[in-house]
Amino acid sequence: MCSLTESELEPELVRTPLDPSAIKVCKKCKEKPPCVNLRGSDTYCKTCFLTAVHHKFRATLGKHKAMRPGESVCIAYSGGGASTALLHLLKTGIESDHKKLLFKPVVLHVDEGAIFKLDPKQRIENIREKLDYIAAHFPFKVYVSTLEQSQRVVEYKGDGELDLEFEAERTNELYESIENIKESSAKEEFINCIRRHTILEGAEKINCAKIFTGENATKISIDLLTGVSLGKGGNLAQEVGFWDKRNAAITVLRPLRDVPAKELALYTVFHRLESFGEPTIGTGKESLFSIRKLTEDFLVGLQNDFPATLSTVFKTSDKLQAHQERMVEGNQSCVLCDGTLDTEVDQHNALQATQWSTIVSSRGKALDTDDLNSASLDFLDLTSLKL
Amino acid sequence: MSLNLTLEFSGGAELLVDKQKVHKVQIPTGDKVWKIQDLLYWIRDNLLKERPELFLKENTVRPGILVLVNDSDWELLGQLDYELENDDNVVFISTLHGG
Repeated sequence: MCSLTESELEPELVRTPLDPSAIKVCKKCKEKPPCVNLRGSDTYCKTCFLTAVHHKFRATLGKHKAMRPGESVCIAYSGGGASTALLHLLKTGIESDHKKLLFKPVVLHVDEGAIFKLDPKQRIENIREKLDYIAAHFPFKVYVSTLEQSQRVVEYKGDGELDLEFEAERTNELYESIENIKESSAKEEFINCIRRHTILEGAEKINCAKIFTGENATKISIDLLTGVSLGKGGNLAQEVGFWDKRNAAITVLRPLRDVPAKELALYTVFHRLESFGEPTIGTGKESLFSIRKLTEDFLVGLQNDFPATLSTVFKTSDKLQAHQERMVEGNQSCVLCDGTLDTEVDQHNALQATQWSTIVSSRGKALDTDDLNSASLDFLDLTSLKL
Repeated sequence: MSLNLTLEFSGGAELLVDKQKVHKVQIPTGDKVWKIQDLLYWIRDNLLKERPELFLKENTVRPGILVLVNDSDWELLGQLDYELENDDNVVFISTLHGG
C-alpha cells in the first residue's frame, strides 16, 4: 500500500481543529459571537445561521422554478429530523410577510411498522405521537397510510381519532417478502422502492401532483455513491436530482438537497423541533451490513478529516442529467423503481458484464483456453440469461 | 464535588440510551475539572445501553454525531478539551439517521 496519504499530498484539504481563542465574531454579521462552525472554518451566530438555512431552502425552490401559487404539494413526513425541519421551513415561508410561499402543503406520513411486524397497538401509538405533534405545531392537513396498504389513506383531524386498521394478511405478506430477500443491500433497496410507491399512491389519493421529500445534501451524496455501486446507471439522475420525474403523473422534488445534514440537524435543535426517528433495518448494524451502510460510513468518516468530501461528491450529483426519452422497449419502465429499462442494448454494457460474472462464478472452476475460444462461447447463450 | 449536567440525545442517538432523549445527571467529579473527553467516557460507562461503538470511535464521538454545548458547536469550544461547567447543557445529535 502506498504510504503517502492524501494529507501529505494536499495538506490544505485536511481539517485543522479550530483554535477557540481565535474566533471572535460571526462571519456574516460580524457582531454577535458565533455558535456554529460549518465547512471546517466558517463560523456563524445563531440568527445568521438560521436565516441562511431558510434562504438556501427558498433559493433551491426558486432556482428550479418549482412551484406555482395555489398548488397542493404532498410533504412526505417520516418523523425524522429532516422531515420535521422541512415542515418548519414551509411553515416559516408560508407565514412570512415578505415573499410568502403561495402553495399548499399537505402532510403524508407512511407508517413502516410492517417491516418489523410491530404490534398493531404499538404502531398506532407511534403514529399518533407523530401526528399529534404535527397537528399541534403546523397548520397543515395531515394524512397517514401504511407501507402494506398504500391504497388506504386516512386523514387525521388532530382529535385523537385514528381510523386506521391493519390487515394482518397484508402486513404478513409484506413482511415475508422482505424477509425472503436474503441480501441486506437488496432488502434496503426493495424497501426504498416500496416506500416510494406508497408515497406516490398516497399523493395521488389526496390529489397532489407534486411531492416534497426531505433528502439533504449528505444523504444525496451517499445515495449517489451507493447508486453507482449498486449499478443504477442512467436512472441515478432521477434519484439524486432535484426533480424525480419517473412517474408521469406525479413529480417528486427534493427542496432540502442543498442543505448538509449537519446544518439541518442544527436547525432542528435551535428551533427546538421534535423528531421521532424510527429504526430502519440498518439501524445499529455494522458497516458491512449493506453497500449503503458501508458507503455512508466511508463518506461521513472521510468528511471528518477532509471537510470538502461531501460537497465534492454532491457537485457531481448536480451534473447528472436524466435521459428524457424512454428506450424503445414498448415504453416500459421497471416495475420496482419506475426507471427506464436498459436491459436491451446491442453494445457491451454493465448488464452483460454482470451476466458474464454470473457464468464464470457459477461454473465453479477457472475457464480454460477451450472455454474461452470464441466459438465455444456461443453456446453460452446470453439471451437465455436475460432478466 | 459534583457536576450537574443535562444531556440530550436526538436524531436517532436516543436509541443508544434506552430511547430516553433527556438525561439529567449528577456526576461526582471530586476536585478534578472535567473535560468533554471525560464526559464521553462517563457516558460510555453509565448511559450507553446498546453498542458503545455506535457512539464512540476511539476516544471521540463517531463521525456523524454532532455535539453542542449550551447551543454552541463544540468545534468552537475546543471539542474534547472544553471544560464543563455546572448546569451545562450538552446535546448529541446523530446526523446519520436522516428523516
